Amino acid sequence: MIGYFTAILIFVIISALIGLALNLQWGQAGMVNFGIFGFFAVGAYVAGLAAMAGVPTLIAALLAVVATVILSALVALVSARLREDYLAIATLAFAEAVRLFLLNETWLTGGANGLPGIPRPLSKVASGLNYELLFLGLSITAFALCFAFAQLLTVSPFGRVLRALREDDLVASTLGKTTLSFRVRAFAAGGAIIGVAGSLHAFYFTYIDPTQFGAFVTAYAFMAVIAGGRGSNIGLLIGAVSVMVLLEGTRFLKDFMPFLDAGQAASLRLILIGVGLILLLIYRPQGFVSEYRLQAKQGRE
Amino acid sequence: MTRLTLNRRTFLGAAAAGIAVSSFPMPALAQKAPVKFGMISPLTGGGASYGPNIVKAAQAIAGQINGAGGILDGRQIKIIAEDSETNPTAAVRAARKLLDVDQVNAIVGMWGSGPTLAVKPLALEKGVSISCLGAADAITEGDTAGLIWRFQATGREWGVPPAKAMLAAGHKKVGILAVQTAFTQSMIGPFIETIEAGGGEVVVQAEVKPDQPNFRAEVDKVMGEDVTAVFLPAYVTQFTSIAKEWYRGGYDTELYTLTIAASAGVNGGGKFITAVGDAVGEGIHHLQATNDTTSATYQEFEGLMGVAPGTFLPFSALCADSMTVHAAAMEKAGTADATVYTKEILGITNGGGEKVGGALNLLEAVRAGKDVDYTGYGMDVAFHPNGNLKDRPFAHFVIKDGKDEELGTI
Repeated sequence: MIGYFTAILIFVIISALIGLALNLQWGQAGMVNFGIFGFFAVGAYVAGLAAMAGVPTLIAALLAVVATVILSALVALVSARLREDYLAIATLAFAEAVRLFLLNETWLTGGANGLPGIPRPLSKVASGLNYELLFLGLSITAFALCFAFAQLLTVSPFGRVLRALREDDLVASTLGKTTLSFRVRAFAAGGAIIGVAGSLHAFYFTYIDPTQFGAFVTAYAFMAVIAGGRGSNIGLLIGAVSVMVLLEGTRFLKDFMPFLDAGQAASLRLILIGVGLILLLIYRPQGFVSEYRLQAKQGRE
Repeated sequence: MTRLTLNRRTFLGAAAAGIAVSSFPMPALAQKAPVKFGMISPLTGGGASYGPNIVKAAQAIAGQINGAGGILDGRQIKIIAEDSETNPTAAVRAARKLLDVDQVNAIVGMWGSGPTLAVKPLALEKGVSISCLGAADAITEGDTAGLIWRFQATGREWGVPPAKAMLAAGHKKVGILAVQTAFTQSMIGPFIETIEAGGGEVVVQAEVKPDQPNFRAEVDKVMGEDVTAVFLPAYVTQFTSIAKEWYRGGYDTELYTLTIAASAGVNGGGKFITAVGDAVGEGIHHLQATNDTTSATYQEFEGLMGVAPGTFLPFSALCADSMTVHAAAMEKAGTADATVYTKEILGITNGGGEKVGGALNLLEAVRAGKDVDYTGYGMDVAFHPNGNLKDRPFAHFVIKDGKDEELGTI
């Protein structure tokens, strides 16, 4: 049981990291990134390939972060004049390009067969359940760092400019803010966090293939951000946990419904997940937590 | 201070109650603990047309064995079926639940190469066996600790029969239009080798991705070359669109594909022919790792599944075989510990002893200490030492007037 919870917590952390990145890019800066799964795949593959080539795992993770930062900045740069749905299409196209690359460049990525046997960090230190707990510790550390990074950006003047750009970039640029530079930096900062998520995924799964990086990754990330409250990092954490509870908790329901056959139980589970999300959007459309606002100080005496 | 005392009392009270409750004789403990078989099958997603039957087959075998008193001195078999959603990430979550919460002894009905490769390291670490229905070669490569058993032909083996069938029909210049999955990718190399060894030539090769909305460009590219036949490893959704494009284009190139993609009823479904109509289907060749539908054990299996005689059930007959073989190996080894009982599998399937088919017959023979050679529901099961299935026969069909006509076994 502890092993299962450890695994689920690691999954929550990985999906929360992706959500954190999306919260920065979309929640704060208003840049819709539907292609988040493509960046996630790049992070995972770079970390996996580097580790398999004998690069120490920490360096491999850093390489993954560098790769996703550069790609994110590039995508933000070339899509500089795109907003809302057009940006969403452009990012989706990028992710598709990544997926096709992973499928076709078999010499590098193993194509549809993927990459088995990715080395894990500190794998000599512990094994079995102890290793799981160690990996959880690593993931929590990585998440704490990323969370602090995102939170720092959110409450800083930088975050305030991002929110201003999100609301009306014309006003922001009239006030002398360089829209392009802020957008590129926001997207790259999100990319850095996705790079961390990708490397954790590669190290934890030890096997990656293109089917693990589908549009559902984007869907879960948006679910977590929307459920948590767009723009709030704390809310996002609650959102990511809720989404996982919904995904995994429903798995146990069939144990209480022996009259359903396996196919019906599986379909019912997916229906319940959908219903859960709809109920959330009806009764809590603003999410669990509202976004960070700098409170004006009460007037002095 | 008062509050602190109260907390301690509450705690002590709760602890005492907990101990008292846990020491009650539980009815479940009065019986012997069941032997748990976990399943990670595609109940939703791309493989959803196979998953429910795979689970049903395992449950049918478990029901039969339990009805006759179970295994290992009266322990019942419990099936815990999880949905892989035909996706490696979801399969890993399902595997975590089966391995850590349910603590299963074996995983059966593991369908799809991607999910299997993702779950493999977890099962190996826990010392739990996997019986998979996936074809990718990588599944049984590397150190499997004798825990991975593939109840399916490997991808390499799937590539050879279509090539042989095409050569036999006199096709020397052929093309390939493949869907990108681990399963189809692994058959392409052996297909090309077989064609070239037979004096033929693969003139053109193209690939499509599984969820592509339209296949016209690729179909035109391949059919436009100087080829007389094209091999199209695909699943039914993609092949339906490809065949329509081929028909619309008016090409006289012959199509060779897999039965799972183009069955006109031979596997019970015939989804393909219903979707495209008899005219499009006419003359399409398809091949499939087959079950011996004439054997008595297969007919017994049809009875268990409640299907009409002669129905070809992909994957599920071999899933029933995996249940049977594992249960018998546990019985023979006297334990449900996978690191121990899997050593008995080769002796049961490849042994030179008496031919035995059917779960109950096999268990009975094993209990009697006989040397057995299990024949199985789906086929005469035998393994290579690395866990790969031996000599899976392939049936060759062609569609005539909206019906499948069997041309023979390869």
